[in-house]
Amino acid sequence: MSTHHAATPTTELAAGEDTSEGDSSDDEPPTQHLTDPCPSHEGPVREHASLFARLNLCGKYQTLAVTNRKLIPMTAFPRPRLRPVAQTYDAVPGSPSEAVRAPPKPRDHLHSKIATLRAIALSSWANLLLVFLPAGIATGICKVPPIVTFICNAVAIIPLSSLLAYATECIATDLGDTVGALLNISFGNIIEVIMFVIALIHNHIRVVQGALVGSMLVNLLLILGSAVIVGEFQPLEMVYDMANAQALACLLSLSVFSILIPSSLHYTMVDEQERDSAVLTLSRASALTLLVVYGVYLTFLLRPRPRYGILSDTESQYPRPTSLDVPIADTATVSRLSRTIRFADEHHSERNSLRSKSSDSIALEPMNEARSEHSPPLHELLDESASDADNQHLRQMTDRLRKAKSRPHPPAYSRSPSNSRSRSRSLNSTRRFRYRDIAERYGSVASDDLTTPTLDVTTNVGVHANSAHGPVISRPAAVVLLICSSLLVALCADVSLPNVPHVSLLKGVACLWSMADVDISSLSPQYRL
Amino acid sequence: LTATSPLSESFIGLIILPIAGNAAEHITAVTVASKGKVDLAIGVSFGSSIQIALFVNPLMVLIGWLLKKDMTLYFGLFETVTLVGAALLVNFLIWNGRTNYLEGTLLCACYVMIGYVTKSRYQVVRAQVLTKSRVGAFLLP
Repeated sequence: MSTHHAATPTTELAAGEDTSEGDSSDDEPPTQHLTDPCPSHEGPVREHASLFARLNLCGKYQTLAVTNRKLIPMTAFPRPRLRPVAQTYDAVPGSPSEAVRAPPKPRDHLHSKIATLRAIALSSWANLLLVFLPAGIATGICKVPPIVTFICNAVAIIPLSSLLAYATECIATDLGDTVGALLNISFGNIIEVIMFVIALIHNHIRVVQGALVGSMLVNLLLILGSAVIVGEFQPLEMVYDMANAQALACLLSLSVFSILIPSSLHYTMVDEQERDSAVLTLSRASALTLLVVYGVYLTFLLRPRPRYGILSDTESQYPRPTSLDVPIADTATVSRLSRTIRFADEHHSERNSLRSKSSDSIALEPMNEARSEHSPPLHELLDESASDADNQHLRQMTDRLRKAKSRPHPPAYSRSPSNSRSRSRSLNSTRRFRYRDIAERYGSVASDDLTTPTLDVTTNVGVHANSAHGPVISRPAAVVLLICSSLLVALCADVSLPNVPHVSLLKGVACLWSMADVDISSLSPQYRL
Repeated sequence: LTATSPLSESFIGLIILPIAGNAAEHITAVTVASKGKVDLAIGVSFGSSIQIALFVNPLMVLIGWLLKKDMTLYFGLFETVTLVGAALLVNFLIWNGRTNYLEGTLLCACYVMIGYVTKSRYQVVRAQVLTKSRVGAFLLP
């Protein structure tokens, strides 16, 4: 969709501002923001918007403060940065308004698809190596020396993996790190599940069991370790979301426990017949339990960010918390990051409606009421069409409408005394997304920052640098790309697997791999230990 | 291990299949981490392991139940011990909220040790198996 605005500024609402080492030096008392000036008065819409923004800020910062103290005391939370855009404008220095008004050229579906394909193709230089993909598969089918097959497939995996990582990043920027990672690993593991089921049908229970443990070991040790080592070479400090990591660690303990218990049962019972049946029963019972636990874990991950189906349900019941702020927030958020911003819009309204239902956040109630009173029908229409995830075209139209509508009103860049120290510390967009994640997971409304009209749209250096490789393709395209690339990676790995050659560097590994083409069940018993 | 659990099968499962099957996750995690998105990298690697432990494991047990195979969660002593050790190490390393190359080296070293032990277990049967292997003739010096 919005892949072709190369010259437009990368705008970013300075939402998740960088924080220092987990202390509260960045924490502003909520009352300070209540008195923030909202200097934009450009017509009735603006006035309403600033009024709602104040309400929004009240609600948000109370909620955030509570969240901050109770749930995540170690991390400071994002707060709005009110900056003049000229300070931070990088792409076209000196002409912010022109760039802000950069007209979205009307494109039809075909053009957007072509643009998406171009974005995918230009995402990395490694895509040139994709020519090895058919070559690798062909050599896997034909009888060629195994080393040729292995090299072709190993080379073909490089661009596929870069595409996979690109798609994952797109989805992660769009929907958050958890969802991006979840989609990535799900497609990877589905292929493994298919492999395991085939092995299980052929009665290779030991292979399946070993592969399950081996997958966990590879993921926990090798992949995590090499990712950490590689991450050391990039300039940013590797700090991650503690809450998420601790939840993962606890889940890991549980899963290890579930494997430990059958082992202990196996070694405590004497009678072999009885022991095997007891282990089998225990395994099946704990398998059911583990599935329930995994379902709860998925719910925990995904619940604060409800799906669109839920949105459409709640829309019909609850007054839309609407979108007075949306056109204004969109004035400067064109092109590259507009998908991120739009995501925040949608979930913004979504979350508000959910919140008014759950009534655990008292602070947000007046805001929702006030908003629903004042929502004009045009914005209702706009927002409705924007929140329809499936209807890309409508969304595009809506964006065009918004941008066209807001062109005569360039955004008011308000200044605030609290915005002086911002630029150098806002470089880390990863952290910003991370804080959004944390806040969303714990039910706060941090991403309201992204749509609040008093928050000024500021061009962000870090995001600008980041978005050079950043996501520019739409969400369905990213998902399709993710599926295709993970399938092809699995295919390549599978083709190259039985024919591991004598590679000197990997001699030991290659020797080990040479067993892969042995049909274990065909081995006579004396070959087994 | 007993005669019912040939080392070769366990070795194939423990080393070969996972490395091939997790190539996508591996390169994704490394690529993403090299861009500084450590949360995403942890989500991919750690999350994949959690998904296997909490979803694929029980799913395979239940599918084995359907297929009338004796698939259990008893994975053998060696596998269980390595898994417990790895989980302990990762749990200790994950709790400080930041990462450095020392931790990454520790994790990789742990995996190398496991792979080495598996390899030396495998050496016992290797000579016998290689005679059966199509690639074995290619590999033999």
